[in-house]
Amino acid sequence: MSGGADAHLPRERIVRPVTLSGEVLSLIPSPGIPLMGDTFGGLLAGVEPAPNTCRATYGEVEQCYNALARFAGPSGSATWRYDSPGALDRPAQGPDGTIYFIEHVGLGKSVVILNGATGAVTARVPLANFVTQQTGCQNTYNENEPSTAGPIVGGDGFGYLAVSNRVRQINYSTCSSYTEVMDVGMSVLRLSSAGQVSVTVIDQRHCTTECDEPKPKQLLPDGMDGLIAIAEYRYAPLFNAEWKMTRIDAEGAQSNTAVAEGLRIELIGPGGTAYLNSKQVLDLQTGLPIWSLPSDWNWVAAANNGDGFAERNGEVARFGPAGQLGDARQLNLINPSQAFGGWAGIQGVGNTTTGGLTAYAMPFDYGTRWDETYRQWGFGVEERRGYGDQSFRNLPQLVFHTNYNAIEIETSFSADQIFDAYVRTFAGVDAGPYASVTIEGNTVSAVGQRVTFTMKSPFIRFFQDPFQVEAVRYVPSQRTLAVTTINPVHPIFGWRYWRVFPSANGITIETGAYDRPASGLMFYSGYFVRKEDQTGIWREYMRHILNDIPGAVLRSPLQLMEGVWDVDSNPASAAIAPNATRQNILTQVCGVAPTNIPVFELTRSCQ
Amino acid sequence: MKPTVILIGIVIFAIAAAILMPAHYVEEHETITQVLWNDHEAVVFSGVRRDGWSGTYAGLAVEMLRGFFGAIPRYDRNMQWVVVGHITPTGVRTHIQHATPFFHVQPFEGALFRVGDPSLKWDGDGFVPVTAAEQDRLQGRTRASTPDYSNVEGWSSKMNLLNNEQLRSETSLNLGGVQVLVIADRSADRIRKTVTVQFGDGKNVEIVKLNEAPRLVSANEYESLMKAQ
Repeated sequence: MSGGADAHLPRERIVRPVTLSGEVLSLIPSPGIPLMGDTFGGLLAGVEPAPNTCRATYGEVEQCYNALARFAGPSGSATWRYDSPGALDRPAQGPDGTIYFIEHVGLGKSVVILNGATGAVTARVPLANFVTQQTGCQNTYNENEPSTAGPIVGGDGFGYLAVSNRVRQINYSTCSSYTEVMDVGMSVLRLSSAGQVSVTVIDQRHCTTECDEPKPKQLLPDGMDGLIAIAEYRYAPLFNAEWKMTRIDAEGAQSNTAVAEGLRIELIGPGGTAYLNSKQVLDLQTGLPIWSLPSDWNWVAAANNGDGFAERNGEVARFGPAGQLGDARQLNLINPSQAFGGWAGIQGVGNTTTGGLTAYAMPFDYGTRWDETYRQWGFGVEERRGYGDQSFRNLPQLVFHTNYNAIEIETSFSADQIFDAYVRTFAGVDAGPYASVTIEGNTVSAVGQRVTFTMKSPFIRFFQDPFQVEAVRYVPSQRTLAVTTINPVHPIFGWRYWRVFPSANGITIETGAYDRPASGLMFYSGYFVRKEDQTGIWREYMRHILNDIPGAVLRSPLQLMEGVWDVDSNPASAAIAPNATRQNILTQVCGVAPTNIPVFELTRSCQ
Repeated sequence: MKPTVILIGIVIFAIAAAILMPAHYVEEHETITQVLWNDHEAVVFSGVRRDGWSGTYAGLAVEMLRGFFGAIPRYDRNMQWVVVGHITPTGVRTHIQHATPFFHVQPFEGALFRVGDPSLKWDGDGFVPVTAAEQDRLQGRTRASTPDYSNVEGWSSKMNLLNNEQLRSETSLNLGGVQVLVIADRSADRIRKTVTVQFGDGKNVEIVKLNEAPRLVSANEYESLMKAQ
């Protein structure tokens, strides 16, 4: 979880974002059991009606919560709560923020789809109940919930759910003899955020003798843009169970592999590598085992090269592609999780806690795509410790970028005059074609002051409301101003600074930003469509300063005025824009470089 | 050939022709508006830029799609000028300073200057070159670098008249005993912007009147509007 919140602790009601050094940044009361970090940098909690209401009839743990609540996250992010008229199961969230979960109301079961930013219900998809109808001598009609696995979110961003169906009709010709007809099957539903459903049938049978519907046990992405569904099948005679793993590839083609009863995939790695609860590593493309983990170790993570990480009594080790034991370290962590580029967990041995949350640096190429690892929790009881889709760690919309524009001019104006006339007033923005700037009092003069940008084009204003930034650093003696975006209206999430300083050939005016798209698909898409504009607005700003200062002569390369992106990964740009590094931009924003950038990104705290 | 096929062909041809037809549009925007005054006269400087885009209706659709994501159109031409309104107790004279973005004038020795090479001096009707002696003295002056100021070298300033949080901004001036009100007004949707001078006798004189809505124009009109100044 971003920021190291210890959300996996059972029944914990306080979330503590922590730094790598173990410093607890804050104590955040949770409205329920913290379940997962969400797409927008906040947390989702399941609110229990009472302890221990969960049931596990079909393999999935169900009916644990009666409400779902969003809390914490970056300043300005919305909190919301969805109260169910019945009970609900654990949620899954897509990259656009859409949340899918099962809701139980009365005898019915449906998939509820929420807008993760607001908590508003966008759709409900009712699932067909199992039906048993008796006619003739006995005349009854019963319905009960279908068995399901999921929902999950696939690599394409859609929600998926495996669901069984059963319609059983029994006709008593006499009170002691009957004939029976059954239609049973299992399908995978694909669900859009608007509630549109498409169905892939995995099994469908019409029986006149005894038969049973498949019981979905697990549904998860295969790591190759397809899906894996594991289910239990029973054919006559019904006491023989067969387990099958069905792979639905990206083109929709299905292939079945018979697997051992009780098989569970705990981790999915890159390229369709599955790490099983039987300790085997399986190639999902061929269905063949690759190597096996010694039985006293438990999976914790997959590496990008196909290696696996496992733990045993507080020891964490890497196992190579043929199962050979590589690096091993005794960390004395209970249930270590990958965090901060290493491992974090509660100090202890077995189930005995000996210390607090601790992190160890142990960098590796984390490659887990899906994590459903379980841990022992009391005698014979397992509890989930991994939680599904790991791609939230690497969502592109959470990747920050840097951009930078600057001019160095030869002028008789002083740096102070330029700072006062152009930086504090944003005068150059108004002169360009992009936006108008409104500042109370026409100048920025203190931390906390807000600046409003209104797009000049009426057409764009139709879609984008005026947005604001807030001054977070204002140091006239250093001629530096830094702001942060006010979300959620601002299309960008991040920081920008402006600085004026004497340099080798005159005066340099620079601005640099460290930001990412604000939450939401529109902002995410817009960030890249508008990429040229993000440096363009400050190019025009610099051009205005250059033209407006009498006799100013440009002494820096034009490319600097045009703007550069991501110089840390672009050595050619770094050579002409040495101040455009992330380190320098964040130093100018905070005054000193933040010690822990992931925590800074989450909390906006420079400490 | 069936009539349906012919009809479909005509419709496809019409759509293709429509999306390949030339399209031109322009937008005009106020950039920065400032009023400066002393005890007997005031001057309003209002920067205006006109941006133009030319292409086909298909290209226009692409620009509109980009606009949906917040990207500004990829204008192919732009023009800038400054409207200068000289306000005296007897009336207003308006003058256009062509082919220039908004500029910050500097008060000095009771007059207003565009400092540069060469520097220019406001003479009430327009900007005229300064003398060599004035140029020398200008170099050593104390500059005003804040947007709003009071009585610097005899002049006061109020900046961003049309970019305040308030839709309407009024600046009350006493010019040689005559009460004058400079009213900057914009509509809530920012489409319409005006700067009007109201004299004590009720007379109103409009200095700036802009409609910032984008408008489609003909090819000839586009060339006429966007021709180099």
